Amino acid sequence: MHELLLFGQIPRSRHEQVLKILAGVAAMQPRRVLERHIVYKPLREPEEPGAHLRRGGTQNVTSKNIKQAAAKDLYFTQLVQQLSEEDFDVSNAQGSSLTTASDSGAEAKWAYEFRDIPDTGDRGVLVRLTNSTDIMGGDPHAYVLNLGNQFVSEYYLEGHRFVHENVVILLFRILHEPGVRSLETSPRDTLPSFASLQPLDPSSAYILEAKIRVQDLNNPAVLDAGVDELKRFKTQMRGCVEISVPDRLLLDTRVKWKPKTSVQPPARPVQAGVR
Amino acid sequence: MKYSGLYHIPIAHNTPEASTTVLNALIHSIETKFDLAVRQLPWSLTHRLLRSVPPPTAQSPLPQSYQHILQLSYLNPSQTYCYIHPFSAIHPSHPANPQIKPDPSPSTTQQPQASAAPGTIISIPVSQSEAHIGFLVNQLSPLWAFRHALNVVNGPAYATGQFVIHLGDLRASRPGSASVTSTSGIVVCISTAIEDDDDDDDDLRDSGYMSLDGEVEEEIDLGEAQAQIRALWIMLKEGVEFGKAEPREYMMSKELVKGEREKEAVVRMWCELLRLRS
Repeated sequence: MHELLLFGQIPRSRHEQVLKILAGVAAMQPRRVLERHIVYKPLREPEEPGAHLRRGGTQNVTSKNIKQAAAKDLYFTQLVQQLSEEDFDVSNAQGSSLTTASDSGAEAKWAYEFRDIPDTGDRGVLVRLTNSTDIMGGDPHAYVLNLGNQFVSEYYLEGHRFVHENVVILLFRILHEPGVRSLETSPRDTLPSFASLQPLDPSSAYILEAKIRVQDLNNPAVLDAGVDELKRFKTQMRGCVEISVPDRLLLDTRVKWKPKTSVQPPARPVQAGVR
Repeated sequence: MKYSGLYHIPIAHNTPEASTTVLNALIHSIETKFDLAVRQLPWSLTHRLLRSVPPPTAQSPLPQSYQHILQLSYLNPSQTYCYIHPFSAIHPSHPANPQIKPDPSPSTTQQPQASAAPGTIISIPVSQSEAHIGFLVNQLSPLWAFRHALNVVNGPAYATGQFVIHLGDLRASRPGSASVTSTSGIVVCISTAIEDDDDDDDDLRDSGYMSLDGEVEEEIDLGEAQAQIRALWIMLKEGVEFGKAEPREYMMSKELVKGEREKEAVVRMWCELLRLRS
Protein backbone atom coordinates (compact mmCIF):
# COMPACT_ATOMS: atom_id res chain seq x y z
CA MET A 1 0.00 0.00 0.00
CA HIS A 2 1.22 3.50 -0.72
CA GLU A 3 0.82 6.72 1.18
CA LEU A 4 0.68 10.30 -0.02
CA LEU A 5 1.99 12.61 2.67
CA LEU A 6 2.29 16.23 3.68
CA PHE A 7 3.57 17.59 6.96
CA GLY A 8 3.29 20.72 9.05
CA GLN A 9 4.57 21.87 12.40
CA ILE A 10 2.63 23.54 15.20
CA PRO A 11 4.13 25.12 18.31
CA ARG A 12 2.82 24.01 21.66
CA SER A 13 0.98 27.23 22.30
CA ARG A 14 -1.24 26.82 19.26
CA HIS A 15 -2.06 23.16 19.78
CA GLU A 16 -5.55 23.58 21.24
CA GLN A 17 -6.50 26.15 18.62
CA VAL A 18 -5.40 23.92 15.75
CA LEU A 19 -7.21 20.99 17.33
CA LYS A 20 -10.46 22.97 17.33
CA ILE A 21 -9.94 24.16 13.76
CA LEU A 22 -9.31 20.62 12.57
CA ALA A 23 -12.39 19.40 14.39
CA GLY A 24 -14.37 21.99 12.48
CA VAL A 25 -12.79 21.14 9.14
CA ALA A 26 -13.25 17.40 9.56
CA ALA A 27 -16.66 17.79 11.25
CA MET A 28 -15.79 15.28 13.92
CA GLN A 29 -14.43 15.11 17.43
CA PRO A 30 -10.74 14.28 17.69
CA ARG A 31 -9.92 10.64 18.34
CA ARG A 32 -7.21 10.13 20.90
CA VAL A 33 -4.18 8.24 19.66
CA LEU A 34 -1.60 6.67 21.92
CA GLU A 35 0.94 4.37 20.40
CA ARG A 36 4.10 2.69 21.40
CA HIS A 37 6.66 2.24 18.65
CA ILE A 38 9.44 -0.28 18.97
CA VAL A 39 12.17 0.17 16.40
CA TYR A 40 14.15 -2.73 14.99
CA LYS A 41 16.94 -3.06 12.51
CA PRO A 42 18.38 -6.13 10.80
CA LEU A 43 21.13 -8.01 12.57
CA ARG A 44 23.37 -8.06 9.55
CA GLU A 45 25.27 -5.02 8.46
CA PRO A 46 24.55 -3.53 5.06
CA GLU A 47 27.10 -4.06 2.36
CA GLU A 48 29.41 -1.36 1.20
CA PRO A 49 27.81 0.34 -1.76
CA GLY A 50 29.56 -0.94 -4.87
CA ALA A 51 30.87 -4.05 -3.16
CA HIS A 52 28.79 -6.24 -5.41
CA LEU A 53 30.56 -4.85 -8.42
CA ARG A 54 33.92 -5.70 -7.01
CA ARG A 55 32.95 -9.30 -6.37
CA GLY A 56 34.40 -10.64 -9.56
CA GLY A 57 33.14 -13.38 -11.81
CA THR A 58 35.26 -16.32 -12.88
CA GLN A 59 37.58 -16.49 -15.79
CA ASN A 60 36.02 -19.71 -16.87
CA VAL A 61 34.84 -19.15 -20.40
CA THR A 62 32.19 -21.83 -20.41
CA SER A 63 30.38 -20.66 -17.35
CA LYS A 64 27.41 -18.38 -17.73
CA ASN A 65 27.88 -14.72 -17.13
CA ILE A 66 26.43 -14.50 -13.66
CA LYS A 67 25.60 -10.96 -12.73
CA GLN A 68 25.78 -10.36 -9.06
CA ALA A 69 22.50 -8.92 -7.92
CA ALA A 70 22.64 -5.36 -6.76
CA ALA A 71 22.87 -5.05 -3.03
CA LYS A 72 19.38 -4.76 -1.68
CA ASP A 73 18.66 -2.27 1.05
CA LEU A 74 18.11 -3.17 4.64
CA TYR A 75 15.42 -1.25 6.46
CA PHE A 76 14.44 -0.21 9.92
CA THR A 77 11.03 -1.60 10.81
CA GLN A 78 8.69 -1.03 13.70
CA LEU A 79 6.24 -2.77 15.94
CA VAL A 80 3.39 -0.47 16.83
CA GLN A 81 1.15 -1.08 19.82
CA GLN A 82 -2.12 0.74 20.24
CA LEU A 83 -2.53 1.94 23.79
CA SER A 84 -5.08 3.73 25.85
CA GLU A 85 -4.84 5.90 28.93
CA GLU A 86 -5.80 2.97 31.14
CA ASP A 87 -2.82 0.95 30.00
CA PHE A 88 -0.53 3.52 31.53
CA ASP A 89 -2.39 3.57 34.80
CA VAL A 90 -1.75 -0.03 35.62
CA SER A 91 1.38 0.09 37.69
CA ASN A 92 1.91 -3.59 38.36
CA ALA A 93 3.35 -6.14 36.00
CA GLN A 94 -0.01 -6.90 34.53
CA GLY A 95 0.04 -3.92 32.22
CA SER A 96 0.47 -4.63 28.51
CA SER A 97 2.70 -7.60 28.04
CA LEU A 98 4.61 -8.13 24.87
CA THR A 99 2.66 -11.19 23.83
CA THR A 100 -0.92 -11.02 22.71
CA ALA A 101 -3.14 -13.88 23.60
CA SER A 102 -6.00 -12.44 21.62
CA ASP A 103 -8.26 -14.74 19.71
CA SER A 104 -9.91 -13.93 16.44
CA GLY A 105 -12.55 -11.73 17.98
CA ALA A 106 -10.44 -9.13 19.72
CA GLU A 107 -9.03 -6.22 17.83
CA ALA A 108 -5.35 -6.50 17.11
CA LYS A 109 -3.27 -4.16 19.23
CA TRP A 110 0.08 -4.92 17.69
CA ALA A 111 1.04 -4.25 14.12
CA TYR A 112 4.29 -4.78 12.28
CA GLU A 113 4.96 -1.73 10.16
CA PHE A 114 7.31 -1.12 7.33
CA ARG A 115 7.85 2.21 5.63
CA ASP A 116 10.01 2.68 2.59
CA ILE A 117 11.94 5.82 1.78
CA PRO A 118 9.64 8.22 -0.12
CA ASP A 119 9.89 8.10 -3.88
CA THR A 120 11.89 10.60 -5.84
CA GLY A 121 10.06 12.92 -8.13
CA ASP A 122 8.26 16.12 -7.47
CA ARG A 123 4.52 15.88 -7.39
CA GLY A 124 4.03 18.30 -4.59
CA VAL A 125 3.45 15.49 -2.09
CA LEU A 126 5.59 12.66 -0.76
CA VAL A 127 4.79 9.18 -1.99
CA ARG A 128 6.04 6.13 -0.12
CA LEU A 129 5.42 2.44 0.01
CA THR A 130 4.27 1.07 3.32
CA ASN A 131 3.09 -2.23 4.71
CA SER A 132 1.34 -2.90 7.97
CA THR A 133 0.49 -6.37 9.24
CA ASP A 134 -1.78 -6.73 12.26
CA ILE A 135 -0.66 -9.37 14.69
CA MET A 136 -3.59 -11.22 16.18
CA GLY A 137 -1.79 -13.67 18.43
CA GLY A 138 1.58 -14.93 19.44
CA ASP A 139 4.68 -13.09 20.51
CA PRO A 140 5.30 -10.15 18.16
CA HIS A 141 8.68 -9.26 19.64
CA ALA A 142 10.05 -12.79 19.27
CA TYR A 143 8.72 -12.99 15.73
CA VAL A 144 10.41 -9.78 14.65
CA LEU A 145 13.66 -10.90 16.24
CA ASN A 146 13.44 -14.22 14.45
CA LEU A 147 12.95 -12.42 11.18
CA GLY A 148 16.56 -11.37 11.59
CA ASN A 149 16.25 -8.10 13.49
CA GLN A 150 17.61 -6.61 16.66
CA PHE A 151 16.01 -4.15 19.02
CA VAL A 152 17.09 -0.54 18.64
CA SER A 153 14.87 1.66 20.75
CA GLU A 154 11.29 2.50 21.57
CA TYR A 155 9.28 5.68 21.77
CA TYR A 156 5.69 6.77 22.25
CA LEU A 157 3.39 8.71 20.01
CA GLU A 158 0.64 10.80 21.51
CA GLY A 159 -1.91 12.81 19.59
CA HIS A 160 -5.28 13.01 17.90
CA ARG A 161 -6.60 11.71 14.63
CA PHE A 162 -9.21 13.13 12.28
CA VAL A 163 -10.59 11.83 9.04
CA HIS A 164 -11.65 14.39 6.44
CA GLU A 165 -12.95 12.72 3.30
CA ASN A 166 -9.97 10.66 2.16
CA VAL A 167 -7.38 12.48 4.22
CA VAL A 168 -6.29 11.03 7.54
CA ILE A 169 -4.97 13.87 9.68
CA LEU A 170 -2.77 13.06 12.62
CA LEU A 171 -1.71 15.79 15.05
CA PHE A 172 0.91 14.26 17.27
CA ARG A 173 4.15 14.55 19.17
CA ILE A 174 6.78 12.01 20.13
CA LEU A 175 7.43 11.13 23.75
CA HIS A 176 10.20 9.07 25.23
CA GLU A 177 11.74 8.09 28.50
CA PRO A 178 14.71 10.34 28.91
CA GLY A 179 18.07 8.88 29.74
CA VAL A 180 17.17 5.22 29.62
CA ARG A 181 17.51 4.62 25.94
CA SER A 182 21.12 3.75 25.46
CA LEU A 183 21.03 0.95 28.01
CA GLU A 184 18.15 -0.99 26.59
CA THR A 185 18.55 -4.25 24.74
CA SER A 186 14.92 -5.29 24.64
CA PRO A 187 11.59 -3.52 24.96
CA ARG A 188 10.17 -2.87 28.38
CA ASP A 189 7.88 -5.49 29.84
CA THR A 190 5.71 -2.98 31.60
CA LEU A 191 4.71 0.44 30.52
CA PRO A 192 6.19 3.44 32.27
CA SER A 193 3.86 5.91 33.89
CA PHE A 194 2.58 8.53 31.50
CA ALA A 195 3.91 11.34 33.61
CA SER A 196 7.46 10.10 33.27
CA LEU A 197 7.46 10.46 29.50
CA GLN A 198 9.04 13.58 28.09
CA PRO A 199 8.63 15.04 24.63
CA LEU A 200 11.48 14.22 22.31
CA ASP A 201 11.41 17.79 21.10
CA PRO A 202 12.09 19.96 24.17
CA SER A 203 9.95 22.76 22.77
CA SER A 204 7.08 20.23 22.68
CA ALA A 205 6.02 21.21 19.20
CA TYR A 206 3.41 19.10 17.44
CA ILE A 207 3.56 17.59 13.99
CA LEU A 208 0.64 17.54 11.60
CA GLU A 209 0.64 14.63 9.20
CA ALA A 210 -1.90 14.59 6.37
CA LYS A 211 -2.06 11.24 4.66
CA ILE A 212 -4.02 9.62 1.86
CA ARG A 213 -3.61 5.89 1.40
CA VAL A 214 -3.56 4.52 -2.12
CA GLN A 215 -3.79 0.80 -2.70
CA ASP A 216 -2.23 0.64 -6.11
CA LEU A 217 0.04 3.21 -7.72
CA ASN A 218 -0.48 1.78 -11.18
CA ASN A 219 -3.74 3.61 -11.58
CA PRO A 220 -2.75 7.16 -12.55
CA ALA A 221 -6.28 8.51 -12.23
CA VAL A 222 -6.52 7.43 -8.62
CA LEU A 223 -3.07 8.70 -7.86
CA ASP A 224 -3.75 12.11 -9.39
CA ALA A 225 -7.05 12.38 -7.57
CA GLY A 226 -5.28 11.65 -4.30
CA VAL A 227 -2.55 14.20 -4.95
CA ASP A 228 -5.12 16.83 -5.85
CA GLU A 229 -7.16 16.20 -2.74
CA LEU A 230 -4.11 16.49 -0.54
CA LYS A 231 -3.14 19.74 -2.19
CA ARG A 232 -6.64 21.07 -1.69
CA PHE A 233 -6.37 20.27 1.99
CA LYS A 234 -3.10 22.14 2.11
CA THR A 235 -4.75 25.18 0.54
CA GLN A 236 -7.67 24.87 2.89
CA MET A 237 -5.37 24.96 5.92
CA ARG A 238 -3.35 27.89 4.67
CA GLY A 239 -3.20 30.60 7.28
CA CYS A 240 -3.78 28.11 10.05
CA VAL A 241 -1.02 25.59 9.56
CA GLU A 242 1.78 25.80 7.04
CA ILE A 243 1.76 22.38 5.34
CA SER A 244 4.65 21.51 3.08
CA VAL A 245 6.72 18.71 1.58
CA PRO A 246 9.75 17.89 3.69
CA ASP A 247 12.97 16.55 2.26
CA ARG A 248 12.45 12.89 1.44
CA LEU A 249 15.78 11.95 3.00
CA LEU A 250 14.45 13.02 6.39
CA LEU A 251 12.12 10.02 6.20
CA ASP A 252 14.78 7.56 5.06
CA THR A 253 14.35 4.24 6.86
CA ARG A 254 17.27 2.44 5.24
CA VAL A 255 20.15 1.20 7.30
CA LYS A 256 23.26 3.12 6.39
CA TRP A 257 26.58 1.50 5.73
CA LYS A 258 29.18 2.52 8.26
CA PRO A 259 32.77 2.17 7.06
CA LYS A 260 35.07 0.47 9.50
CA THR A 261 37.97 2.73 10.16
CA SER A 262 41.21 0.78 9.91
CA VAL A 263 43.39 3.58 11.18
CA GLN A 264 43.50 3.73 14.94
CA PRO A 265 44.06 7.14 16.46
CA PRO A 266 47.47 7.29 18.08
CA ALA A 267 47.51 6.69 21.79
CA ARG A 268 49.86 9.57 22.41
CA PRO A 269 50.96 12.45 20.30
CA VAL A 270 53.71 11.63 17.86
CA GLN A 271 56.80 13.65 18.52
CA ALA A 272 58.90 14.72 15.65
CA GLY A 273 62.27 13.07 15.60
CA VAL A 274 61.26 10.12 17.76
CA ARG A 275 61.63 6.77 16.04
CA MET B 1 -8.84 -31.15 23.68
CA LYS B 2 -8.03 -32.44 20.26
CA TYR B 3 -4.91 -34.37 19.45
CA SER B 4 -3.87 -34.92 15.85
CA GLY B 5 -1.58 -37.11 13.86
CA LEU B 6 -0.58 -36.59 10.28
CA TYR B 7 0.30 -39.01 7.50
CA HIS B 8 1.91 -38.10 4.24
CA ILE B 9 2.04 -40.36 1.22
CA PRO B 10 4.56 -38.98 -1.21
CA ILE B 11 3.70 -39.32 -4.85
CA ALA B 12 5.85 -38.48 -7.84
CA HIS B 13 5.47 -34.92 -9.01
CA ASN B 14 4.12 -35.27 -12.47
CA THR B 15 1.45 -37.90 -11.86
CA PRO B 16 -1.57 -36.03 -10.56
CA GLU B 17 -3.80 -38.93 -11.56
CA ALA B 18 -1.98 -41.22 -9.19
CA SER B 19 -2.71 -38.95 -6.27
CA THR B 20 -6.37 -38.70 -7.19
CA THR B 21 -6.51 -42.48 -7.35
CA VAL B 22 -5.00 -42.90 -3.92
CA LEU B 23 -7.26 -40.22 -2.48
CA ASN B 24 -10.36 -41.86 -3.86
CA ALA B 25 -9.19 -45.22 -2.58
CA LEU B 26 -8.80 -43.79 0.91
CA ILE B 27 -12.22 -42.17 0.76
CA HIS B 28 -13.71 -45.45 -0.32
CA SER B 29 -11.92 -47.19 2.52
CA ILE B 30 -13.40 -44.76 5.06
CA GLU B 31 -16.88 -45.04 3.69
CA THR B 32 -16.87 -48.80 3.70
CA LYS B 33 -15.18 -49.43 7.01
CA PHE B 34 -17.06 -46.90 9.07
CA ASP B 35 -20.82 -47.01 9.04
CA LEU B 36 -21.06 -43.79 10.99
CA ALA B 37 -18.75 -41.74 8.78
CA VAL B 38 -20.35 -38.36 8.18
CA ARG B 39 -18.97 -36.12 5.50
CA GLN B 40 -17.97 -32.70 6.77
CA LEU B 41 -17.47 -29.40 5.03
CA PRO B 42 -14.43 -29.41 2.76
CA TRP B 43 -11.30 -27.81 4.10
CA SER B 44 -8.39 -26.03 2.50
CA LEU B 45 -4.76 -25.34 3.23
CA THR B 46 -2.48 -22.64 1.90
CA HIS B 47 1.21 -22.82 2.62
CA ARG B 48 4.19 -20.74 1.61
CA LEU B 49 7.70 -21.55 2.64
CA LEU B 50 10.45 -18.97 2.92
CA ARG B 51 14.05 -19.63 3.76
CA SER B 52 16.48 -17.24 5.32
CA VAL B 53 19.18 -15.85 3.06
CA PRO B 54 22.74 -15.90 4.39
CA PRO B 55 24.71 -12.67 4.11
CA PRO B 56 26.63 -12.50 0.85
CA THR B 57 30.00 -12.42 2.54
CA ALA B 58 29.44 -15.53 4.65
CA GLN B 59 32.02 -18.24 4.07
CA SER B 60 30.88 -21.21 6.07
CA PRO B 61 27.31 -22.48 5.82
CA LEU B 62 25.31 -20.75 8.50
CA PRO B 63 22.31 -22.25 10.23
CA GLN B 64 19.25 -21.35 8.28
CA SER B 65 15.75 -20.59 9.34
CA TYR B 66 12.53 -21.50 7.70
CA GLN B 67 9.45 -19.37 7.79
CA HIS B 68 6.08 -20.94 7.10
CA ILE B 69 2.98 -18.98 6.25
CA LEU B 70 0.17 -21.43 6.84
CA GLN B 71 -3.58 -21.10 6.69
CA LEU B 72 -5.72 -24.07 7.70
CA SER B 73 -9.39 -23.50 7.17
CA TYR B 74 -10.50 -26.11 9.69
CA LEU B 75 -8.23 -24.78 12.42
CA ASN B 76 -8.97 -21.09 12.12
CA PRO B 77 -10.78 -19.63 9.15
CA SER B 78 -9.86 -16.02 9.85
CA GLN B 79 -6.20 -16.22 10.74
CA THR B 80 -3.00 -17.18 8.99
CA TYR B 81 -0.10 -18.44 11.03
CA CYS B 82 3.51 -17.38 10.53
CA TYR B 83 5.96 -19.80 12.05
CA ILE B 84 9.69 -19.26 12.08
CA HIS B 85 12.00 -21.95 13.27
CA PRO B 86 15.71 -22.41 12.94
CA PHE B 87 17.10 -25.40 11.14
CA SER B 88 20.71 -26.36 11.00
CA ALA B 89 22.56 -26.77 7.74
CA ILE B 90 23.03 -30.49 8.26
CA HIS B 91 20.99 -32.18 5.60
CA PRO B 92 18.64 -34.74 7.09
CA SER B 93 19.28 -38.24 5.79
CA HIS B 94 16.28 -40.35 5.17
CA PRO B 95 15.67 -42.12 8.45
CA ALA B 96 15.20 -45.87 8.35
CA ASN B 97 12.34 -45.57 10.77
CA PRO B 98 9.50 -43.80 8.96
CA GLN B 99 8.59 -41.94 12.12
CA ILE B 100 9.83 -38.42 12.45
CA LYS B 101 9.20 -36.82 15.79
CA PRO B 102 8.51 -33.11 15.45
CA ASP B 103 9.59 -32.60 19.04
CA PRO B 104 12.90 -30.77 18.83
CA SER B 105 14.17 -31.96 22.19
CA PRO B 106 17.74 -33.24 22.10
CA SER B 107 16.75 -36.62 23.45
CA THR B 108 15.67 -38.02 20.09
CA THR B 109 18.68 -39.43 18.33
CA GLN B 110 17.34 -40.09 14.88
CA GLN B 111 16.23 -36.50 14.57
CA PRO B 112 18.28 -34.34 12.21
CA GLN B 113 20.07 -31.83 14.29
CA ALA B 114 17.40 -29.19 14.78
CA SER B 115 18.10 -26.32 17.05
CA ALA B 116 16.73 -26.48 20.56
CA ALA B 117 14.63 -23.37 20.15
CA PRO B 118 11.09 -24.33 19.24
CA GLY B 119 10.51 -21.31 17.04
CA THR B 120 7.91 -18.55 17.25
CA ILE B 121 4.41 -18.39 15.89
CA ILE B 122 2.24 -15.35 15.33
CA SER B 123 -1.14 -15.16 13.71
CA ILE B 124 -2.19 -12.48 11.29
CA PRO B 125 -5.52 -11.80 9.60
CA VAL B 126 -6.08 -13.83 6.46
CA SER B 127 -6.82 -10.70 4.45
CA GLN B 128 -3.33 -9.39 5.11
CA SER B 129 -1.41 -12.59 4.50
CA GLU B 130 -0.73 -11.97 0.81
CA ALA B 131 0.49 -8.45 1.50
CA HIS B 132 2.68 -9.75 4.30
CA ILE B 133 4.24 -12.41 2.09
CA GLY B 134 4.83 -9.81 -0.60
CA PHE B 135 6.52 -7.57 1.94
CA LEU B 136 8.76 -10.38 3.22
CA VAL B 137 9.82 -11.43 -0.24
CA ASN B 138 10.26 -7.97 -1.74
CA GLN B 139 11.27 -5.59 1.00
CA LEU B 140 13.03 -8.11 3.20
CA SER B 141 14.62 -9.86 0.22
CA PRO B 142 18.15 -9.66 1.68
CA LEU B 143 16.86 -11.74 4.59
CA TRP B 144 14.20 -14.09 3.18
CA ALA B 145 13.75 -15.92 -0.09
CA PHE B 146 10.70 -17.71 -1.38
CA ARG B 147 11.01 -21.50 -1.60
CA HIS B 148 7.72 -23.09 -2.57
CA ALA B 149 3.97 -22.88 -2.29
CA LEU B 150 1.63 -25.76 -1.48
CA ASN B 151 -2.14 -25.90 -1.48
CA VAL B 152 -4.95 -28.22 -0.65
CA VAL B 153 -8.19 -27.14 -2.22
CA ASN B 154 -11.53 -28.64 -1.22
CA GLY B 155 -10.15 -31.49 0.75
CA PRO B 156 -12.73 -34.01 1.97
CA ALA B 157 -13.24 -34.49 5.67
CA TYR B 158 -15.07 -37.16 7.61
CA ALA B 159 -16.23 -37.46 11.19
CA THR B 160 -16.44 -41.00 12.53
CA GLY B 161 -17.56 -40.75 16.10
CA GLN B 162 -14.36 -40.34 18.02
CA PHE B 163 -12.15 -39.29 15.10
CA VAL B 164 -12.19 -36.55 12.52
CA ILE B 165 -10.25 -37.37 9.37
CA HIS B 166 -9.12 -34.69 6.95
CA LEU B 167 -7.78 -35.85 3.60
CA GLY B 168 -6.17 -33.75 0.95
CA ASP B 169 -4.20 -33.75 -2.23
CA LEU B 170 -1.19 -31.54 -1.68
CA ARG B 171 -0.51 -29.55 -4.82
CA ALA B 172 2.48 -27.38 -5.48
CA SER B 173 1.46 -24.25 -7.31
CA ARG B 174 3.93 -22.54 -9.57
CA PRO B 175 3.53 -18.78 -9.65
CA GLY B 176 3.69 -18.58 -13.43
CA SER B 177 1.52 -21.38 -14.71
CA ALA B 178 -1.58 -21.55 -12.62
CA SER B 179 -3.07 -24.37 -14.63
CA VAL B 180 -0.32 -26.92 -14.49
CA THR B 181 0.14 -28.01 -10.92
CA SER B 182 2.22 -30.88 -9.72
CA THR B 183 1.28 -33.00 -6.81
CA SER B 184 3.34 -33.53 -3.73
CA GLY B 185 1.31 -36.33 -2.30
CA ILE B 186 -1.65 -37.09 -0.12
CA VAL B 187 -2.03 -35.93 3.43
CA VAL B 188 -4.30 -37.52 5.98
CA CYS B 189 -4.83 -35.76 9.28
CA ILE B 190 -6.52 -37.78 12.01
CA SER B 191 -7.76 -35.90 15.04
CA THR B 192 -9.15 -37.41 18.15
CA ALA B 193 -10.73 -35.76 21.14
CA ILE B 194 -8.80 -36.55 24.26
CA GLU B 195 -10.83 -37.50 27.24
CA ASP B 196 -9.55 -35.74 30.28
CA ASP B 197 -9.38 -38.03 33.26
CA ASP B 198 -12.01 -36.85 35.62
CA ASP B 199 -13.91 -34.51 33.40
CA ASP B 200 -17.22 -36.04 32.46
CA ASP B 201 -18.93 -32.80 31.72
CA ASP B 202 -18.84 -32.09 28.01
CA ASP B 203 -19.87 -28.48 28.39
CA LEU B 204 -16.86 -27.54 30.41
CA ARG B 205 -14.31 -29.30 28.30
CA ASP B 206 -13.54 -26.40 26.03
CA SER B 207 -14.07 -23.59 28.47
CA GLY B 208 -10.72 -23.77 30.11
CA TYR B 209 -11.97 -25.63 33.11
CA MET B 210 -8.93 -27.79 33.22
CA SER B 211 -6.63 -24.84 33.53
CA LEU B 212 -7.93 -24.10 37.01
CA ASP B 213 -6.71 -27.41 38.21
CA GLY B 214 -3.12 -27.37 37.17
CA GLU B 215 -2.04 -30.89 38.02
CA VAL B 216 -4.57 -32.62 35.86
CA GLU B 217 -3.06 -31.32 32.64
CA GLU B 218 0.12 -33.22 33.08
CA GLU B 219 -1.67 -36.48 33.56
CA ILE B 220 -3.22 -36.44 30.13
CA ASP B 221 -1.83 -39.44 28.35
CA LEU B 222 -0.93 -38.49 24.83
CA GLY B 223 0.64 -41.86 24.21
CA GLU B 224 -2.76 -43.44 24.18
CA ALA B 225 -4.06 -40.90 21.72
CA GLN B 226 -1.10 -41.59 19.47
CA ALA B 227 -1.74 -45.32 19.65
CA GLN B 228 -5.38 -44.79 18.76
CA ILE B 229 -4.47 -42.66 15.78
CA ARG B 230 -1.97 -45.20 14.57
CA ALA B 231 -4.50 -47.99 14.93
CA LEU B 232 -7.00 -46.05 12.88
CA TRP B 233 -4.43 -45.37 10.20
CA ILE B 234 -3.53 -49.01 9.94
CA MET B 235 -7.18 -49.87 9.56
CA LEU B 236 -7.67 -47.15 6.96
CA LYS B 237 -4.83 -48.06 4.73
CA GLU B 238 -5.61 -51.75 4.60
CA GLY B 239 -6.28 -52.61 1.03
CA VAL B 240 -5.21 -49.25 -0.37
CA GLU B 241 -2.37 -49.40 -2.84
CA PHE B 242 0.30 -46.77 -2.33
CA GLY B 243 2.70 -48.03 -4.92
CA LYS B 244 6.32 -47.48 -4.08
CA ALA B 245 5.64 -44.70 -1.64
CA GLU B 246 6.17 -45.19 2.03
CA PRO B 247 3.79 -43.17 4.19
CA ARG B 248 5.45 -40.96 6.76
CA GLU B 249 3.98 -40.11 10.11
CA TYR B 250 4.04 -36.83 12.00
CA MET B 251 2.60 -36.46 15.44
CA MET B 252 1.90 -33.44 17.55
CA SER B 253 4.58 -32.77 20.08
CA LYS B 254 4.03 -33.93 23.59
CA GLU B 255 4.23 -30.67 25.49
CA LEU B 256 0.70 -29.77 24.57
CA VAL B 257 -1.16 -27.18 26.56
CA LYS B 258 -4.77 -26.22 26.22
CA GLY B 259 -6.12 -23.19 24.49
CA GLU B 260 -3.99 -21.17 22.13
CA ARG B 261 -0.97 -23.45 22.47
CA GLU B 262 -3.00 -26.31 21.06
CA LYS B 263 -3.42 -24.45 17.79
CA GLU B 264 0.27 -23.69 17.77
CA ALA B 265 1.08 -27.36 18.19
CA VAL B 266 -1.13 -28.20 15.20
CA VAL B 267 0.66 -25.56 13.14
CA ARG B 268 4.06 -26.93 14.14
CA MET B 269 3.02 -30.45 13.19
CA TRP B 270 1.83 -29.37 9.77
CA CYS B 271 4.92 -27.28 9.15
CA GLU B 272 7.16 -30.21 10.00
CA LEU B 273 5.53 -32.11 7.17
CA LEU B 274 5.45 -29.22 4.75
CA ARG B 275 9.08 -28.29 5.31
CA LEU B 276 10.52 -31.66 4.38
CA ARG B 277 8.89 -31.39 1.03
CA SER B 278 11.65 -29.09 -0.03
